Amino acid sequence: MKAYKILLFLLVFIPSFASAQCKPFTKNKVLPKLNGYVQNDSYNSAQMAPGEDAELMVTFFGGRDYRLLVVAHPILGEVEFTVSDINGKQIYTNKDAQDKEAFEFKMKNTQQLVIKIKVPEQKDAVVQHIGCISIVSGFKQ
Amino acid sequence: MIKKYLSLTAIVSVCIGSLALVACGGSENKAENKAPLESGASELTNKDEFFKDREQALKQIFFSIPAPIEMADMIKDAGFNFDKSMLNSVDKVAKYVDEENRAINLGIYAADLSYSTVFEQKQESVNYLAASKTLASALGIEAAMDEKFMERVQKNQNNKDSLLSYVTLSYQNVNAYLKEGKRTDVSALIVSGAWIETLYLSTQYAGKKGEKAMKQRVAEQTYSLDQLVNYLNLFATSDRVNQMKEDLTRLQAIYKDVIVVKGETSVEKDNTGVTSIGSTETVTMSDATLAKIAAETVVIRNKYIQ
Repeated sequence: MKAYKILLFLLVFIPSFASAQCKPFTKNKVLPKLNGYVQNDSYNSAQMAPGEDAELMVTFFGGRDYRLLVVAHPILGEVEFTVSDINGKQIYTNKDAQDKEAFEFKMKNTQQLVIKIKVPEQKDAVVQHIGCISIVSGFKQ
Repeated sequence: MIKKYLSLTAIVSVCIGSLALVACGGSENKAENKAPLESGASELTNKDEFFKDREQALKQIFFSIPAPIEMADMIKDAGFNFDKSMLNSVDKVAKYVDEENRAINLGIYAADLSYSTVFEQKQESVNYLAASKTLASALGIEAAMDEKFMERVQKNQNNKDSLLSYVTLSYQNVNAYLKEGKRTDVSALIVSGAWIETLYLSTQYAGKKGEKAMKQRVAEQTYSLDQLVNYLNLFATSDRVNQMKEDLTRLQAIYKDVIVVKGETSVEKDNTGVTSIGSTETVTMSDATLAKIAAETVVIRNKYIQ
């Protein structure tokens, strides 16, 4: 009976461990860029392909300072990210920013913001690659 | 004896087969890659598999409500003291035997852990980390909080900043292992448990006479609650998630009495170049609504921590 439990465990979890790919990237390449801000989300990292986009809605509290990071594996090229309010009014874009990965801001009032990311196309690429993208936010204590 | 030997042989064969499949997948990738890739990237070899149900998959991964550590920090910021009696006892950890209860209570312990750590209660923090590790192991994600990790926590428990980063890392690890293991519904239950416990702690303080700051924070949870219910809708086929959704939907009905007056967003930069984001949107609620939210939160919490 015990042996069957072990078998069941292995069958269920071996594929799980095998598909874990962005955790080390987030831990080693992204979290250190929080620069002392305390991480305040769970886990928003995934492998994405050229041309793909995704969005994330986040509540930020009034009276607090935040650092938002969108870090992509270099193989994906320059990933575009924007921050808008719930009505679509754009607040920030990394297009002309010096630091393409980080956006620091103060919230006067609590509100929901929408973070949109877009991975550039790689039309001429002979071999297509996927790479990790992590969205991480932190607050200042 | 022979029968036992044969069944064990069969099990070992299947396991080796599983490992071989995983390993073969890896070597195939390596063979086809034109250049070695550092961790975090790979060649897209199976497009059909990768893009299958892609929109749904990305929606299940990219979801965020504030982690319990932030609400705990706001309780401290409001000038309150630590109150151990409010927390879910770590002694109950062995009582949580099915996956649903383990996941929800792992979230509840994660919130209690965050609260204890923010208030610099070292022993409580270590106790809640240990209870969280027990539940994480029972859920099959012991690697999220392995022995090395626990040793580092023990060594650094007197360093507040280190302890804080270990607490946030443990919450992230747990959700990372589940999301990457395609057990996103279990992660959703953990996040729900953490949110309920955080709301419970907040309402206990917000209910104190004359208290305004925490009452405001409880009202603002209307945003997170809507997001959470929408997120749980993505797992409509999961019975265990549906049960949690039903509970949160009852709470959402009470939250309808929270008054949100829509407004305009303003953006400006201060002298140092830092962006300030403001809004004329207001969120308010009456003491009666707060009392109803607090009462319903107790009902939901008690149902799960028993």
